[in-house]
Order: sequence, then C-alpha cells, then structure tokens
Amino acid sequence: MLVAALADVAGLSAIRIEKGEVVAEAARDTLVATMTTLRDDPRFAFQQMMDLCGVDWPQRVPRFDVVYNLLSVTHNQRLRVIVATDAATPVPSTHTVWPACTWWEREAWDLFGIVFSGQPDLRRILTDYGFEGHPLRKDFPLSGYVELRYDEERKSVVYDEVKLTQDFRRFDFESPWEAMTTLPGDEKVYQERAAEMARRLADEGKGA
Amino acid sequence: MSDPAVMPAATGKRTIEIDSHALNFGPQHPAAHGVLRLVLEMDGEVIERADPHIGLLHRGTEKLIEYKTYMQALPYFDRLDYVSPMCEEHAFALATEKLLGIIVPERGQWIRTLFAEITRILNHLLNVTTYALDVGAITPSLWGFEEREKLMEFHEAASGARLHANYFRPGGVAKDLPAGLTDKIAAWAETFPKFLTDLETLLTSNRIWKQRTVDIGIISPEDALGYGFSGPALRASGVAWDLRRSQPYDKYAEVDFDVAVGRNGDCYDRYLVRLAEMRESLRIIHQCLAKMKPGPVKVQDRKFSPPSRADMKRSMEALIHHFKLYTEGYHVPAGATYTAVESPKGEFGVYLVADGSSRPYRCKIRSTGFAFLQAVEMMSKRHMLADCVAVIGSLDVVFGEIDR
Amino acid sequence: MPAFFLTPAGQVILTFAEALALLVPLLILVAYLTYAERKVLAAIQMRKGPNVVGPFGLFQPFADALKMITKETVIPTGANRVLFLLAPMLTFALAMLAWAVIPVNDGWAIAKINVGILYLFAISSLGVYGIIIAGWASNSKYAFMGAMRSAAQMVSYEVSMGFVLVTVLLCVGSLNLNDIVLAQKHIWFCLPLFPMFIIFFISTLAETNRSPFDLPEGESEIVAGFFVEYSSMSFALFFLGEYANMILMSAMTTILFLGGWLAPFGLAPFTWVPGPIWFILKVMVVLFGFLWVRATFPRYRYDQLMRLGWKVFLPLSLGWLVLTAGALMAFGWLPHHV
Repeated sequence: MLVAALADVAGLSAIRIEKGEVVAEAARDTLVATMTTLRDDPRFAFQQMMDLCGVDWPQRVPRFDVVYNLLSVTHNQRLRVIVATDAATPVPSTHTVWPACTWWEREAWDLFGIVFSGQPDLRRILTDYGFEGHPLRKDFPLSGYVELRYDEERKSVVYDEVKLTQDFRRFDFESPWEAMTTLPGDEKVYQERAAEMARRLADEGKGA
Repeated sequence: MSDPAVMPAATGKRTIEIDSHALNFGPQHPAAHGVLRLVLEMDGEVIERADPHIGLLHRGTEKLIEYKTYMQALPYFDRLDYVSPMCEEHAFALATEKLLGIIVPERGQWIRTLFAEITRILNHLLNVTTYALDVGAITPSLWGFEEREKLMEFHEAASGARLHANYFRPGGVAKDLPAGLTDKIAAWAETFPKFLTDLETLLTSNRIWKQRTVDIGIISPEDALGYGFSGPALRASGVAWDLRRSQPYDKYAEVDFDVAVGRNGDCYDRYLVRLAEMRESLRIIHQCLAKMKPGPVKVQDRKFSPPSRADMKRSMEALIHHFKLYTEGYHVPAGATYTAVESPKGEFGVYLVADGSSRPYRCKIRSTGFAFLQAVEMMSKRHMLADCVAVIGSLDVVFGEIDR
Repeated sequence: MPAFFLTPAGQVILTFAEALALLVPLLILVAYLTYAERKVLAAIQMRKGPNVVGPFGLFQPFADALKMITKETVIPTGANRVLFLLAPMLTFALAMLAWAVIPVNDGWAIAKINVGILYLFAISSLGVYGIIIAGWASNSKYAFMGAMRSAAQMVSYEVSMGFVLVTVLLCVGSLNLNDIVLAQKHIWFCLPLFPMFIIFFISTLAETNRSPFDLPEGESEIVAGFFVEYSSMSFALFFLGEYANMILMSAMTTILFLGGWLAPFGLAPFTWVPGPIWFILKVMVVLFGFLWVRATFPRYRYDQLMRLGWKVFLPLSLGWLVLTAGALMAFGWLPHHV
C-alpha cells in the first residue's frame, strides 16, 4: 500500500521492498520537497527522521549513498530513502524538515565528507578538533594517519604520524578452496558450480 | 564594548551593559555523564546558548566493525551503551538474523526477551538514581546500585560477565541459562516492587525534587518527534510509541504489558515514565519466566552457530565447523536492513549493509542519545545552570553510544 | 585561684590555656564529625562506611588528615596567590573565633561578654568573606559562581536568622548567651517558639552551605564551587572550617532553643548528669539532623533558595516576631529587667 502511494511522490524512484522494508531512491535536487511531502502528506506522515547515514561505494559513480531512515508513528511504518552523491556534489540539507537532521548531517560530513548545502552548522562532530580526512571512507586506513602522545619536552599532547609496533595484519579467511582449481575426482562439484555461475549471470542479465 | 559605533545613542537614560560569559561545562564534570563538553553562554546563572561538543569518546566502532566478522563485531555493541549492553546486542543480532534469514528457537527468544527486560531495569535504575544525584539527592544512587548489583549477577550467571555480556548472538544466545538462575530471578522479582516503593518515597512526592524537575526542560510532542526522540523521553511528551508494542520482535508480541505515557514532557514526567517502565518490565519478566520452556537456545544450523564442546571432541565435522565459524565466520547474503529495538533509552537501530562476505560492509549505529543531546540546547535555553544538569540527567545519555 | 593569674601575664597564659582546652577537643570533634557523617550516611545508604583504618574505622579522620597534609598545594596560574592562601585561613580562623563566647556550662566561656549573641552573629557573617575571597582569587568561573551563590545565600538567610534571634532576645531580655540559657530553666524555647526553631534550623543549614542548600559547592553543577581549585591543607582548612561551623551552628541552636547545658525538664535522674555532657549531647542531636537532611533531600536551585529565604522565611519570621512581641506585651510576660 505504501509502495503504491509512494509512486505518486515526485522525486522518488526504484520503490521496492527489501527484506520487508520499503526502500526508495530519491533525486538529489528535489530532496527537500520530496521529504516535506513525505512528512506532511497524511498518507505518509513520516514525523520522524530516525537515522541519516552515509555509505561509501568507492568503485561506483557517484560514490556515496546518503540513507535516510524515516518513521511514521501514526501509521507505524518505516521508509528508507537513498540519495546518491559524490564528494563534490552537495546534498540539500533537510534540517528544515526535521531538526534532528543537523547533527546527523554533521556526522555524515565528518565521517564521509558528504557536503550538505543549506546546512548552517556543518562542523565536525565526532572526530577531534582539527582532524583531517573522513574516517569512514573505505580508502581511509583503519589505523588512521596520526596518533596522540604526550611530549615530555614540549609539556603538551602532540600529534605524531601513526607508528605500529607490529604491521597491521588483515587475515583473509575467505575459503581458499573456493578459488582452487578442480581437484582430481571433484569434477562433479566443478560442473555444478559452473552451472550455478551461469545461472546467476543469466539472472543478473534479466535484472538489468 | 568600547567601540563607539556599537554604543547606543545617548538618550539621557543610564544604559547598563551585561556581558554574558562562556562556561566550559565538562568534559570532566561530575554531571557530564561521561565526557560531554557543553559550551554554555550564560547570563549570570541563566543559560543563553548551549553548544554540546561530543566525540570525546569516539572509538571508531563503525569502522572497526567493518574489519571484523559478524561474530567478532557483536562485543562492540556491549561497549556502546555500557549501561544496557544486552539491548544493544539485541539490535545487531536481529539485524544479522534478518539478513541471514534465520529464526531463533523459542527458548532463545524468551531468554532474550527476559534479559532485555532485566537490562531495561538495570538501565533505568542507573538513570533514575544518578539523575537524582545530579539534582543533589545522594541516597537513591547508593540504594539503586545495590539493586543493580543483583541484576548484574544475573548477567554474570548467564554470560560470564557483569557488564560486557556478549550474550545475545545472531541465531540465539551464547549458551543456555545455568540451572537455578530462573528461580533466583523469580525470587528477586518478588522483592523488587518493595525497593521501587522505597525509592519513590525518597523522590516522587519530595517537594524539592518536584520543584527541581516539574516544568523543567519541557519538550512538546511535535518537537520531540522532529528531534528524533524515542523511548521514555518521547513517551513522557505524550506520544504513546513503543517499538516493543508497535513493531514487536522476539517474544514481545506474546507478553502483556502497558506503555507508560507522560503528559507534560518535563523532567518529572521522564522520571515517572521510567519508574512505571520498571514496573512493566517486571511484569514482562514474570511472564517470560512462566512461559519459558526447555529447548534449544540457538539455531541448530552448524553453519551459523558453533557446535558444543562435547561434539567437537568426537565429530570431525563439528571441529571443522567450529574452526570455520571462528576464523572465517559465516557469510551474510548481500542486502541491507535497518533494524531497531526499543532499548531502555529509546530506539536503538542498526543499519547493516552486507556485501556477501563474512564481514559487514557498513554498520551504522543509530544511537538514541545522539538525538537527545541535539535537543539539549533547545530544552535548556533560558533555564538555569542547575536545570541544564537536570535536563541532561533526565534524557539519559551515555557517551559510549553517542560517540561510538 | 592563685594571685598570679590575675596579673596581666597570668591572664594571657590563662586565656591561652583556656583557648587550648576548648580548641583541641573542638578540632577532635570536627575530625570525628567527618567520621560520623560518613558513618551516618553509610547507614542510611545501606553500606558500611569507613571500617578499615583502626577498629570500626575510628582512625579514619587521622588518616585523612595525614593524606591532606602530604598532598601538594596547587596554586593555579592566574590566581592571586596571597588571597588564594589567605581565604582558607580566614574561613578556618573565623570558625574557631566564634567559639570564644559559647558557654558549655554555666559560666564556662572564654570571653564572658554581655553581647555574646551579637558577637556570634558578626563572626558568622564574616564567614562569607573567606568564601568570596576564595572564589575571586581562584580565577576560575566555577569558583566565582560558587562564591556569588554563597554570598547571596548567606546574606539572605542571615536576615531571617536575625529576626529569629530578636524573638529569642525579646523573651530573654539579654544578649548574654549565659542568660539566654538560664532563661530556659522552665521551658526550652523550642516549644513556645517552635516555628522560629524550625526556621532557625533551616537557616543554619543554608548558613553553613549544607544540603539541601549546598549550592555554593553543588557537586553536579559547579563541581565544588568556591574551593574547586584548592588542594592539600588549604582544602583541608576549608573543610575543617565548614564542619567547625556546623558544630558552631548546632551549638547556637542548642543555646537558643534547646536549653544549652540544662537537663531536660530539670528532673532528678537527668540533673545528675553534668551540664557539658547535656550540651554535647544536644549538639550531637542537632548535628545528626544536619546529616539526616543531607542524606534525604535533593538540592535547591539558586532562585528557589532565594525565594524560600526572602518570600517565605522573612515574612514568616517577621510575623512571628510581631506576634511574640504582642503576646509578651499583652500578657505582661516581658522579662523584668527591661
């Protein structure tokens, strides 16, 4: 029902149900108008913006998703609105629709470097004062670039380049035998796997 | 100040200039509930502007989770809201189960419901009593901690740890309850109402307590919704919204409880709602204990839940499963879900994106207190410094989850 | 008394000895008041309290004192050093000074002056200076706010305290503390002047910055208020001063309302117990009231405290003053020597 009603809303596309959750993609430019409709239209009445977050897909263009999780307490329904953007293109700020957005937008800016236009208070929020970089981007190393230590000579806390006493190790536990060439006597498994792959490819072709 | 351009024109009247001053409240302040830094602009004792600075406890949990398997990621949730650890685990476990498409056995669901409610009481006890401490009453906190200790013993008996339980797992709970624990919980549940009554005699009708909390930090239902409030803080404003009731998970659909709703949205109502919720939690605990039946506590599919130690001694397959689960972990099919639970503080959500590997691609934690803290400025404006402390106390913020 | 003690040098030595005989037990009492506070609070809060140092933790106050002495005195940069160090001394000295006129038994006071009550009132009003100086000299906003709160609070509550005193004086007709106690031979003033007794007790809580009026040091608001920057002995002096003031105020309550060293009802088994014991017992009962209140109540807010002082206590005490004076006049109960 919600899906059908959402189809009328301008700026929403690809409305679908994923694992029982309603998901829609929204156009970036008309986002504020779309969101205002979602909030004010009695069919939707999404009074609450529960969560706003970024997701980084480095291989994809545009690179980022901004995910809005909306909640209507009167209709007891949720909606996930996804807006795609890249590091250079700002997303219109929705803090005028829900005041809760301000801090979540600050967080998305801080952690992903997603810019929100019309947001008057786009300061960093979670990272340190004067922090550089956007740590939740996939190309940001887990260990970061800097570390803090107390400098006895300068009698103050200083930033240093991060030094690891042991190399950062990331074990790859993905099944080695899934990539292995077919072992003697295992041909049947190989054939089944090849068939499975072909079927999956065909499915994807259909989907596209 | 002395710049002639900004001086008011001489009107013959005396002009008095009052300079507001900035006060750095925290991060090492007894009422900052951890590491809140609040930059207050004050006019004497009255707050003109409040700018919360958060992130002093930021540990990069979301980034760390991306580098861990699903099972390894779970303990991070204990460390988010360390006052209600099991409810945080609950959200992640439910999100993972949803992506995996597995269903937890009956007993596992009952145990999770039971411990989620124990955790709720654990959290509310801490909040109500430390809130009273912020307002200057010292005795409730010590009484409350005595009672909390008993609850943490239940946590310890079930999981082996008082605080960082790591007990709820995708697919059930880590292990079954030890023999006799349910009886102990039942015995405790009999004594707890008396404790609550005692606690109330100290606060509920205390004139000073009421003077300090009634009509302080009022938030209207519209504002509360707009600011993304949830849980007791939203209900105190008169919005009867409880995820346990409206979007039940685990066994909440099968238990009977009332949703406490306030009327004014002030600090006093938030206190009352929490007290009422503790009583309701107690009802749920009684029902869980009555309805729980023996049976498996986690999914029996060895691809998701580890085999017992006894099996591993005898079965080669069990050993392989164990090894695979604890090194590679299970693969979660690609997809995304936003799963929320009614944590004691409010809606605690996990937006989990899986890419088909054994590690989460993205795990966004929707912390409850984040939304509350944003409204602190609005709620404490034109209030006095002492009221700001009461407002922060009544909102129940824990920086482990806000800063993540 | 040997003639030597009547010479000027002898007088000095005698006074000195008297002062010592008062101050040493007083300081020990202060030390054990901290112990008693911890034990009483612990009992109310269902825990044990100090129980490690010595039997029942009885040596705890000395361990605390030793700790305080061995700590480093930190003077913040930007603080006014002279005033910063002067403030705790002032507070402590004033708290001790007031004891000169307190009669522990009939005629047992170091200074038997006829305006004892005025002296007490004057000294306790001066106490606010120590706090204001501390707040100002620390060069910290929290300390300054604490000092401001404290000044406002002490001044407000002294007004109604003054009226309570005047009521008592009307009934006695003398400013001498000894006479005030003796006037209560037949009935303690806490009965006929019961509302004034309550107002006085609550005002003493405010005067000594105790809970629920502990705003100047409101732990959860302005951290520790005026002594946030103090450490070591300078902190200990504030601490001792605060507790000495508590005992002083309890002693004042005892003298004004609870019949000082007089045994209850003047009945036979009670009168066998010497006066000083009664005095100390009564002081302890009042002190227990201080601790009990602390364990039970939340803290007032600044404006509520002011409202209580100016809008409730002031009219109430003024009304009772007029009422008492009227009753005294109407029934001819005025003291004879007026």
